[in-house]
Amino acid sequence: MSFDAIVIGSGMSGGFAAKELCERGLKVLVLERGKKIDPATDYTDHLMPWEFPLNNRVPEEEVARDYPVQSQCYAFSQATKQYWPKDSEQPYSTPDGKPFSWIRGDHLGGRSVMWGRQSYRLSEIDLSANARDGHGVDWPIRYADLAPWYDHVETFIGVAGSNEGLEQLPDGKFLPAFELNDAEKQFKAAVEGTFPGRKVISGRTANLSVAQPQHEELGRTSCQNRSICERGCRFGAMHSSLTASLPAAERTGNLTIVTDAIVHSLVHDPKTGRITAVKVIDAKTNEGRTYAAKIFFLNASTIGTAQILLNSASEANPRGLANGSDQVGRNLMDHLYGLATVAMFPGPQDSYYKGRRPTGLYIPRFRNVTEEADGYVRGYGYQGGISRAGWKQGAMTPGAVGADIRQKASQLGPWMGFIAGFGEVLPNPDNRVTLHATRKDKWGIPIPHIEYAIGKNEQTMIKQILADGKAMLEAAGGKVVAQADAAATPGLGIHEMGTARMGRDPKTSVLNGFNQAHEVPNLFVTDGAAMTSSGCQNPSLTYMALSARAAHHAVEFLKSGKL
Amino acid sequence: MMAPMIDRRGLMQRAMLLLGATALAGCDLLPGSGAPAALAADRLKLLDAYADTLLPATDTPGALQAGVPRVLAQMYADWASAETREALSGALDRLDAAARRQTGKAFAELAAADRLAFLAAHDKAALAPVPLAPDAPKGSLFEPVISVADVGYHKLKELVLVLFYASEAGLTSDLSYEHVPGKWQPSIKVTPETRPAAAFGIF
Repeated sequence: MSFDAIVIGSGMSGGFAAKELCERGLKVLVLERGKKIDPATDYTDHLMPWEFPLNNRVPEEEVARDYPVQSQCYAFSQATKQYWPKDSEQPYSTPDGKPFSWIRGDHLGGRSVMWGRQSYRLSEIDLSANARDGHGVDWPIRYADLAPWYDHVETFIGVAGSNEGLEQLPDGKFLPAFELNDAEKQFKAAVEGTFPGRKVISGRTANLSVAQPQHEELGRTSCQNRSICERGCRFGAMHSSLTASLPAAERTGNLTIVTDAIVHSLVHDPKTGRITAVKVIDAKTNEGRTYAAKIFFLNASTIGTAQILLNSASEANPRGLANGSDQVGRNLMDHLYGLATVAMFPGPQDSYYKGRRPTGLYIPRFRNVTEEADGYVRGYGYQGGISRAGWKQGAMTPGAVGADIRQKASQLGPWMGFIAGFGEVLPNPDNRVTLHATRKDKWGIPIPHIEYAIGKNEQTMIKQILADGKAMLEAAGGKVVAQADAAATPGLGIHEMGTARMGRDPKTSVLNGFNQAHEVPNLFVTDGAAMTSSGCQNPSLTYMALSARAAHHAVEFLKSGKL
Repeated sequence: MMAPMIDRRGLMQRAMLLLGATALAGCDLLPGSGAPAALAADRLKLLDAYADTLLPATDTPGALQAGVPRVLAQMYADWASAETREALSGALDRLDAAARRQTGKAFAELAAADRLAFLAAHDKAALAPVPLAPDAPKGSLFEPVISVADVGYHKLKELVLVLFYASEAGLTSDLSYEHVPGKWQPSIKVTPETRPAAAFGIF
């Protein structure tokens, strides 16, 4: 069977690419290495807290044996266990003393099912950053190239947020924002009053605060404010490939999905310089198969995409496919993460909230925008929230026993707030994914070897992320009770990107301004691998915008006979 | 007055949920024998008495009526690592041994008022903070090392509490829980009837 296009990966970017290609009339095959998941039968979001026999926990010895890395993700639980690969079955390697936690999905829809949903546009400041300060290479596109595609993606997926008129965080096509609670409004007033130029806004999130007709057509309804989004949402109220992009692709009649299909490599014809087919190994039977098409979208996630390109080495491409620049696998980035400050907050004692809003507050970047930075380039934003503490602090107090615990637990606790910085990291060619020289997985594919460390710019930035976090909470009357002293293990930002970067020069980049491989015209890469710099914004929205834009151009090229 | 002790871990778990990434690693867990082990009958009886004393019935069911010991026993067999099983059973054994030493009676045999008085003192001593040695691992903001007199007891108490406040009884008496809240209401007035809303995800 032959297809017009093959999309490798069904997650955030692959799902969106498939939708766009199908809607333009192409016959599309989506290959997913993980298992099939059906929201109707497999989602666990209906289960009540007491319906999990083991308190929604995975047995400890199973965690230690099979999920030592995946369990580091907040969303890992019995309710979501079906989504994660076993680290024991799908290994990767890191050098001693340089850990990188690679958090993955192993199912149709990928991490778009468990994602954090925060959705922010990159700005002109971000897309011109490399050109301005000389790190990495220049992006081949600017904000004006992406803006209409951000509009397009936001309209389809549904993003709740407020327009703020900020240069560093462009406005968008938003659904009504999830309003801040009273303590957060108090914090907002204090921060904005004390630090002119800083803003505290509602976190922009891909949850349908108010579903629109284009969402309802796909069976999606408004958010029910449950905040168990990572289990998968039967209401379809958050964007995911499973409940939005793939159903939209499916209704065109042009979509074929094959799961349990592990891509081994891409087959390159040196005579034409084109890819002709994808070599696949069936995850269950180990049987090898080949699928042919005219164009190929690689959306296997940043590290998986690099692995496939490197494993597609041939006589004509000894260093891997599309890798004349030697940039495939390099420039791996993941946002600085876990840089949280926690404070008790003097919020209004007579105020509470109802429902569990699927987002918190956001503080857009101000360093190197409206305020100078203390010895580093780029910047950071914060996510956070202020809520009323629960029963635990009273109940775990030494000597607290008996009916007294229950009486205290039934009272509202003090307001507690936290803000955590997400910092931009610079592209560094030594932060790199390669193929392990000797180790192979159970399908015979060399495992990825990930070598990663943050540099001086990031180390310097971390100090100011923590200092600013403390200063803002204190300016609002907060009493800081805890603060991180280092960033979380790299990878845990789960924003890995950069391993097949876009650029203007084929000698220093892998993809051109259309996400098309410089060296292989019928290959497009539109997942995080394409990112030339990281910004400090949560990147999924940008991956989807790049996917939609590249699909548009790929189909134009195909129709005009260029491919 | 604000309580001096901060539920750092619980707050950070929720913080991390919001952040859309990390938090609680299972990396301190050692693979054990793999053989499921059940709590012996005498420890089950002790656990019933402990749960009933820690979270007694008031005008609503307490931990015993909510079935917390039963769930905990199942978790002991099917969830806990060998290390955790040892921590939990050790804490129960130390509780009973202290009761026998100090009162001459097994914990479960004490009259209700005596049990409560004994447990208050035992709990206070067991959870007394122990300063960490300067070179000892402190953990992280997200996963601080628990350093109290009886770390196993800390685990036991926390688990009983967590299970009660995840039970239908606990969630509909001291707390409130709606699985499908529907609307987000950012500001409501607190009244004497307001109960803290339990959350198992973000906020």
